[in-house]
Amino acid sequence: MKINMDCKQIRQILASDYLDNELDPTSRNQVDRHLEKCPACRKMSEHLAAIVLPLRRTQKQKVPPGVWSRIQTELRRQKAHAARPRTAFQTTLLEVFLMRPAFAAVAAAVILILISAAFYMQTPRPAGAPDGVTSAPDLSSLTGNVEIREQNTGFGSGIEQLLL
Amino acid sequence: MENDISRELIIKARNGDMKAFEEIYHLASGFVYNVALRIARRHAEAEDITQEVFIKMYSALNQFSFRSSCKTWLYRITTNTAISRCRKFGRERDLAAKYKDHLEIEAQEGPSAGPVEAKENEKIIGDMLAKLDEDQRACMVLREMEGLSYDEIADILNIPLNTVRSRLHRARETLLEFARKEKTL
Repeated sequence: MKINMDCKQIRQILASDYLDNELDPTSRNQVDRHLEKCPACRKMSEHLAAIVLPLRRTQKQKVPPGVWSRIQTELRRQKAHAARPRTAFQTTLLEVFLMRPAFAAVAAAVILILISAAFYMQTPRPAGAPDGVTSAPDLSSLTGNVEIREQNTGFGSGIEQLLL
Repeated sequence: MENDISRELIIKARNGDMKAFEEIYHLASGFVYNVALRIARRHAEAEDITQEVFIKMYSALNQFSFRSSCKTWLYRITTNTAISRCRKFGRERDLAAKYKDHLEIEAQEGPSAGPVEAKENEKIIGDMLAKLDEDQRACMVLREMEGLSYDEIADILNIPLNTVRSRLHRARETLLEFARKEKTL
């Protein structure tokens, strides 16, 4: 990694490539020369080296003994489950839902529509009213409201009468 | 990557040889468990992750195409599993305080029990790693504890080289800040 020398950039490099020995020798020499002249950057470099020390001297932990037997048990369970014979219907369902998810989505949508339609057909409606037509009392209450609004909001009607 | 698992062993395991798979487990479980432990930060969680990693590996042996090393592949499964579990069960920032107590208990009673210095170091590491998000933690664990190069980390985490650089840089700045506040520097 090629670098230009100023404190801000140097500090970024100190916290990554320099600390990790990822710089080429020429760039590393440049950083070293900067550190000789700049006490603030030198201090940061020392602090960075100190901060990663506990992580670098971490002791590896042993894997607890029970893990392998748990893995074996789980793999055996999965094998036994996979080896269980399926009926022809189960196999077909699995093929459809696992191998063709788009088809499965369409099938699910169709089933949902059929269930909704069946539910709608069973819902009781007022006698004599054809499908899709609102009953008479509802319509009258709507027109009643319109009339009231027309009476109350007759803006301009008085002026129009004067002018005419 | 050093000490990689041999192609022959993988092919044997792929063909259903459980002894070969057990050998792979003995070769690789150490680093899988330790990476999982440092990312997830709890022994019980690290055990679950290790189990999940080897089960995933066994199921995917047929798809392994030898384009990367087996060790790289295992590191990838481990970090992905650990990070996604952290995100799923995490709420990490909220649990940081609880974790601190938990780690202290584990340092006294858990698998890390040993000399006083080691216990103290474990506590410091726990406190430090708790300050990082899981992405930064994964980078730091692969670099500082596993000693992997930037190229290897980028390959394992499937991120650009400069992202590795910036995550390490930010993680260390965070740790410096933490050390200054704790007055340990």
